[in-house]
Amino acid sequence: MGKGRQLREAMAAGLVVAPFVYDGFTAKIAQARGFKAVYMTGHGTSAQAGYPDVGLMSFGEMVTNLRYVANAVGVPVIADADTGYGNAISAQRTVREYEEAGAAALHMEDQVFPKKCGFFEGKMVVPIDEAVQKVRAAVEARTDPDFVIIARTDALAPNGWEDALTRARAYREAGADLVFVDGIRTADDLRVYTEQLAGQGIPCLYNGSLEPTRQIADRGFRIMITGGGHGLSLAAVRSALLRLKAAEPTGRSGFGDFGSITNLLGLPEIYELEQRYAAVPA
Amino acid sequence: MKRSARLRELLEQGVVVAPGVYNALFARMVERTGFDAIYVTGFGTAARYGYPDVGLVTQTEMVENLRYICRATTIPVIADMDTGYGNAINVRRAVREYERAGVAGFHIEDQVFPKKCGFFEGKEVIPIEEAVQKVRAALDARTDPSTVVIARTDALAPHGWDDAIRRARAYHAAGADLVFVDGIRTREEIDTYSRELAMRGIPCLYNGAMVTGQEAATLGFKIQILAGLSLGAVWESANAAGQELMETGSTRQTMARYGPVPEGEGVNDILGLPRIYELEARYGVGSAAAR
Repeated sequence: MGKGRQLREAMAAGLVVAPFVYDGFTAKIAQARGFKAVYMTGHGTSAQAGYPDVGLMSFGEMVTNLRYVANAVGVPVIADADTGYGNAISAQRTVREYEEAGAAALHMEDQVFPKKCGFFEGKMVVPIDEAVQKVRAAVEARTDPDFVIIARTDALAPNGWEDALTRARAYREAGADLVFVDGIRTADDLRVYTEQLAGQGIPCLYNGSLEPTRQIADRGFRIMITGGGHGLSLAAVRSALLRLKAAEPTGRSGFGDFGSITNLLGLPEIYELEQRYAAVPA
Repeated sequence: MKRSARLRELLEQGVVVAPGVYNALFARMVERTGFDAIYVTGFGTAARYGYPDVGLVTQTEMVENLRYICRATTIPVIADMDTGYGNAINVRRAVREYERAGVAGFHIEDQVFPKKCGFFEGKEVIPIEEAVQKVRAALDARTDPSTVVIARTDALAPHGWDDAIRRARAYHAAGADLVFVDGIRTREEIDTYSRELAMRGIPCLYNGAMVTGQEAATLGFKIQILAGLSLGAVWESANAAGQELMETGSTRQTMARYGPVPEGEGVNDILGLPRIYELEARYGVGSAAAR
């Protein structure tokens, strides 16, 4: 079964909770904890390369990271595709190569290029007509009809709810499988998002952690992207570094739970393969 | 000052403690928290690509990761070069690529290719004569004479101390700036390492967290790397968050355990977001243009 189909079946069974991951290791951790999908964050992909999420990461870097993430897990990967890295033509290339890299879904947004993280100040959006054409282009570029196209709007912060709703509906109309209003900061925002879109039969994605997964499911959302992501990782690394500075123990080899980490990465399978392909029978 | 020269200066001053990272974000945090040097782990780099540390990750992938890490930081970066990714000729290329990426020093080991993590079972080493030639090739390949060449031996696990010591001495005699006996598991082994090599005028690197930097200095070591520091922290926190999210539907408790991070130390600050807004104003682009 294709990855897109796998994701569609998971959505049919209920809310798909996809934790933020930014590399093969965090993807494997999320899968091992039982999640049915993972979400490759652009903010995190950019962060691990040393850049803030302001459109400095290029398409090639995103698709390379996606390939590693998708190789690392069996569950569907939902991937951040920012603005599609240019116009409608660029968006078509992005869809094809994300598919080829092993993604099950991507989301593409209506920001001006270069983009900004959905929660940063100073976002700007392209005209709705242009954004609709990009959604059309993305939908038509699929080679696997089950590949899931999620249209994101960033219009809430710069233009307010009315425009965000107009855009979300227009993108759905243009063929997007789901819509995604980003930058939901308050309970009130979440209520409007629910009443006007998710509760109206329009498949929606929610990005955040204002409420636990159960409540987000009850509101009618189909996908929730959430979790600690690279922010939590950085805080944990910082705390380990401060312990080291204070000359407190950081663990036997500093590796934490070494056996669990190597098992997660598939070391036992490597030893099996060494036996299987050994030139001289052991 | 070049980072390689800076690393040599630090080595004159005492033990250099280099926490292990495998991406540019964590590397920036190492610099921010005031460490003198960064260690880039091959184990962690393999893990970030989704593989165990058994030589599946190639030279180009290691170099690409190093390029991001070096660009994002200003302090010396000490990098894992595994076996040099082939024979002495491959070593030559690897050294040049690592230097161009911006590293201050690297370690190269005497395992057969493909290698294994120093703490895994089933390691094998190449003959000492071949390993010495690879160390020579690494030294000759430098375009920056300050680049620090660290010769690692993995012979302890398969052959025991006699061979490990013999190899370390041979690599030192061949010109390696430091030697590195990997796979030190017990306090007794640290003491042997110290007594037989570090205290005998051979500059040594210790990989592990069994002693503090202060103790490592007393034992005569010049560099201490903590290869697993960030990977362990990520494992612990991501695993806890995943478990909590699965069980309760939120990650609140795990987030609280590691945070809140003080003002100016969050992801966006560490990555320099405020500077981006300054640049937008300076060049009249982005939201600055719309204002």
